[in-house]
Parts: sequence; C-alpha cells; structure tokens
Amino acid sequence: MKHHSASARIAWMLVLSVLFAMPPQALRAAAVGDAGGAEVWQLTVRPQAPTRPALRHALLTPVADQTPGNAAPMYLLATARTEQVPHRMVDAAVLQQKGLPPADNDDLMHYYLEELPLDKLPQADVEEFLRNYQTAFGFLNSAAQREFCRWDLPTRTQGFETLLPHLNGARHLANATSLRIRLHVARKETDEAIGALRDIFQMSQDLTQEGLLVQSLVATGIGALGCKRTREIVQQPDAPNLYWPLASLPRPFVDLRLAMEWERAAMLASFPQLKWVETESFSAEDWNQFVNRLSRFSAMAMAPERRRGGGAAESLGPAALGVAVFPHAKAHLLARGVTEQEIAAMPSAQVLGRYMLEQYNTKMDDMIKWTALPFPQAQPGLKQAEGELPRAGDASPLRLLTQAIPSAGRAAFSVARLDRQIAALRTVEALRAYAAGHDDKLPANLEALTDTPAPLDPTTGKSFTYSTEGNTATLESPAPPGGHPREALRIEVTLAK
Amino acid sequence: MYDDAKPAEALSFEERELETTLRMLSPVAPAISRDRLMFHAGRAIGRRSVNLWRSAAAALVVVFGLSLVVRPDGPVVREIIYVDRVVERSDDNPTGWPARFAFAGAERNAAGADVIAVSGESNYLVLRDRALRWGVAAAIPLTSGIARPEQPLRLDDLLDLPSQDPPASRPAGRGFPNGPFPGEHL
Repeated sequence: MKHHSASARIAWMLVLSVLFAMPPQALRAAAVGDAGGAEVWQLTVRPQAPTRPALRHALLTPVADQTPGNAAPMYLLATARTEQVPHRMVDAAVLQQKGLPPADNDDLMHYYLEELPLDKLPQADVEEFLRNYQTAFGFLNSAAQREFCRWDLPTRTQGFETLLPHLNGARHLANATSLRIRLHVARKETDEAIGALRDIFQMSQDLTQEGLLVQSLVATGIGALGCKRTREIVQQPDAPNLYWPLASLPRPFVDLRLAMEWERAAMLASFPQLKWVETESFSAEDWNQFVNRLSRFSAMAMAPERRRGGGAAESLGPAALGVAVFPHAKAHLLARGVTEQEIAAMPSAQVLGRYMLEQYNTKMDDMIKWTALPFPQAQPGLKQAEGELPRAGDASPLRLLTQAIPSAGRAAFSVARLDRQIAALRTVEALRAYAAGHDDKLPANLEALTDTPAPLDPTTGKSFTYSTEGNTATLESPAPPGGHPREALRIEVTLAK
Repeated sequence: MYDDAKPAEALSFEERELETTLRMLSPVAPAISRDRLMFHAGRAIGRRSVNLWRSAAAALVVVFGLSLVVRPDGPVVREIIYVDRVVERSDDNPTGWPARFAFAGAERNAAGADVIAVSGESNYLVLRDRALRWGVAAAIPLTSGIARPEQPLRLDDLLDLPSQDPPASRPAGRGFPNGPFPGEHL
C-alpha cells in the first residue's frame, strides 16, 4: 500500500513537472484539443452564390485596370515610408481603462492584429493608429496597379552579398495593410476590405519576381497573411462569394523554381572565377582565389548556432584541396568521355575548376528540377536530392561548394502550404455556393460541387478529406510524409442559417 | 658429525663440555637491523625525490615570475573571430541596425538588447538558413519592434520644410499627401 502511495506521488510529481515545463502556447494548444497538433480553422459562414460579374472582387489587379510602369519603385517608396512610422507599444493602463482584454504582446500592431477579436476592435483607436500609414498605403495601392514589377536587384553582380533591406519594410507594410482590412471588415466596408486585400496579394505576387529564395519566402508569408484576412472576410454576414477570384490566383502562387534559379545566379556571381572555367582560362591563381573565397564563404554560410567546428575541407589551403580533389576531378572527366591524354594536356587548375563547376551544377539541377513539379510529386525527389548533399562536418571537399545549395524541400512545403490555404478557402466558398443553391444544405461529398468544383489539395494531389455532421463540414489535409503533425490542416466549416 | 639419534650417555667428555659451554651462550643483539636498514634506505630515496620536486617547483615559480616581468616580443598571431555584436539604439541609429547589416538576423537577448548576428558580408546565407529552418517570422524579426518616441510623420517633415498644418477645411483626396485616398476611411 505504501509502495503504491509513493509511486503515485512520484507520478504526480512527474506530471506536474511536465506541465510546468510546457510553454504557455503548448498548454493552450492542448486545452483546445487542436486535432493532434494540426492547424485548425473554425469558420462560420453563410450560404452565398458566387458574385456576378464573377471577377468583380478580383484578388490581383486585372490587366484592364493596370497603369503603365514598374511597380518596384512605388513599393520601395511604400516600404521606406512604412519603416519611418513610429512604433507603438501597448499601454496596459489604457487597455484597462477602455475595457479591453490585457495584451500578451507589448506590440500594439500585434495586439490589434492577432489578439483582439473583430467585435472588440476599438475602431477609432485603430483608425488613429493607422493614420501614419496613409502615405505608405497610397504608394502601395499605386504599386499594386502597375503593369509589371522589376526589382532590378544587383544579384547577378553582387551575388550573396546583395542586401535586401526592403523585405522587412514589406512585411511591416503587409501587417499594417492587414490591420486596415480588419478595420474595414469591422465597419462592414467589404469593398474597401477586398481592395486592400488585393494590394496584399499583388505585393506578395510581385515580390516573387526576380527574387532570391528569402524574398520568395517573405512573399509566401505575405500571401498567407492575405489568406488569413480572407478567412475573416468570408465569415461576414454579407460577404460576397470569392470562389472565382480565389480560383483565378496563380497556381502555384509562388514560383519556387524561379527563386532557385536566382540562387544559382547569386552563387555564380559570388564566385566569378567559375565563369572562366567554361572558357578554358581557369588558371592556378583563379583556383587559389576560388578556394580562399570558398573557405571564407563556408565560414559564413551557416548560422552561428549551427556551426560545429569545421570539417577537414575547411582547413585545407588551395594546394592541399587541389591535391585532395584532383583524383575525383580526373575520374569525373574520364567518365564524361575526356581521354587521359586530353586531361594530361589540360592545366591542373582547369581540371579542378571544371569538376567543381560541374558538380555544383549537377547537384543544383537535381534540386531545381523537382521544384518544377507539383509538391506531392516533387517531395520525394527533393528529399533524396537533399540527402545526397554532403552534410556539415563531412570531409568531402565538395561540401564547401554545395553549402550554397538551399534546402528546397522546406521551401517547397512553405509554398505548397500557401497553395493549400488558397485551395481550402476556395473549397469553403464552393460549399457556400452549393448551400445557396440547395436550400442551405451542405453537399454529401465534394464531387457534388459541380458548378464550383472543389480544388485538389496541393500538398497531396488528392481531394481534401471531407465529412459532414449536421450543418458542419470538416475538411482535412494531412501533414506531408515525414512532416510535423502541426503541418496538417483541419477546417471546420459551420453553416449558419 | 652431529647425530640426533646418538644418546647423551654416548657423548665423550669433550663433547659434553662443549655442549655445556654452548648452552651457556646467549644471543647478542645484531649491530645492523634489517628493518632499520630498509627504512633508512626508503627515507633517503624519498628525500631525494622530494628535493627534486621542490627544485622543479621553485624553478617554475622563478620562471613564472620572470615571465611576468620580462615579456619578450614574440610573433603576433592574428585570428579573426566573428562574435555576435550588441548594437545599442541611439537617436542617430534609432533602429539599432548597422547600415551594412541592415538585413542581418536579429534576436533579443535576456537583457532585451537587440543582438545582431554579424556574420560578415555573406549574411544572406545565414538568413536563408534560418528562414528555412524557423520560418521567416522567427528568422527575420521585424524592425518595427523598436520603440521610438511617438510623433506623426508628415511630408513636410520628410522634406525638411517649415511646418504647414493643413487647415481643417482642406479637401481630402488623391494628391493630398497625407489625406485619405478614394475609398479610404482611415
């Protein structure tokens, strides 16, 4: 009996220790029972037939409405202006005085955007808060209407040293615009809300033009912010049905293959010596410069928290690295059909340089080629391509070079997740349209959505899993193979009468 | 010569006298003790060893003392070590971001100061590495998280013009820098 009591006490202590060790977010997630960690949307919508004209609420600027010129300078003016807006902190006393709930975060923008429900949004205060963004909103609106966007970044000359200071401003501006949409929605100004939403989607789309991978990831995040606001808009009692505007968005919304091509351009610009390999003028001095630059690059290529001492390759100088690589380089050229005599006639540096360039291009192509396919087909190939890259700490001299190849698998899922959000919203709108034409009833299955077909889940290539219970439909999308459970999505759509 | 089996009565007179004499003898303490000898030998060896260590320690103390006083100029080894740099905010630099590293990843340390991960010129790669692992929001904290004195920004301020507050009756609309745009109610 005593033994049982001691065991129970220890068990309780363990449980309490785990509970105290859990972060508040984890406790909150556990409390709401978030479908095993999946992202959950709980939407309450009303039946609504698609708007006519179908594209009246287009989410990207229609060609007919575009104005001449490049959008990039206007975006830069908007982001620069946004960065000048004073930041404001939450004043707990003021919140209490106004009867608002306490803030979890001291950033006022975050409080208005993420913490307050729409019906508690202090409209006059938010309007006053956004007043400083007026000029930036104007520039953004002008940019979103321009007929093309060319950032003209010096990526092909400065390579990885190209600075991207506009991206933070773009995120800040997207947040401010997102709050502006919330205010419009709270005021039942649907057309204005959708107009600002169009600016967000257009900015996201324009950021993906001519951008490195990070720029595309920022664009993906801004697109996801647009989806979040769309969820709020479609739940309003008088919300128009956005099925066709959502269906008209590009698929995929972000072109990852283009971003990867810019990564390659940045790499070749960072190591200009490699360009000379193809003209057969790669000298020993070029090799020395290349290796020295590669070593410096290697030291900086990884975030400080991931550096675990250099591998053997880092400690080799140009000569030693050349000696280590040469047998591989020779074998590589022989396999490519170059004869022993031809290799013997080539300068050693030329053999080494050609090997390095061809190895980089081969590994990079193995990664890029999969990004041209839909995510479900690309994911296994991307995983395999990543697995074949030398890892940190490997002695392979090629590791120095292949560090420049980004992990496209993670990026591909980020992009596919945005596409999944758009597809999920489109399915929700298809359900609203169906209910509007069928006595406010939900369809028995997604195949019944004939007038507004349900899209496939971009992360699986199959239909969303669909079930109904009463007036609630549930759409589910699993996490990708090998992914974290929180990468799954569950949408509970309740049809209000 | 000696035979235990030989009975006593069989001894001759000389032999019996020798036996009596021998019986009168008593053992004499030896002049040299084996144990003592071993002890002294061990102590001698130990003293030598202790003296050796004492000498070595003394020599080291002397060398150390001398090295503190006399520092010869040796070859200078230069090594570049990249460390996280704490950048203080100031009026001149309200964002706390060095211009050269305007897009470097930043984190907040326990003291609340912005720690800029200055990893050299190729910091795009560090940023990309973090963005792929943590997501953009965690990898690139917004610089808007920096408190500054609140003051409205106006075009006049930007152009460094004398303040010209718009009259209350001034019409709002496109072309008025800080006024609402069409469809704008903010």
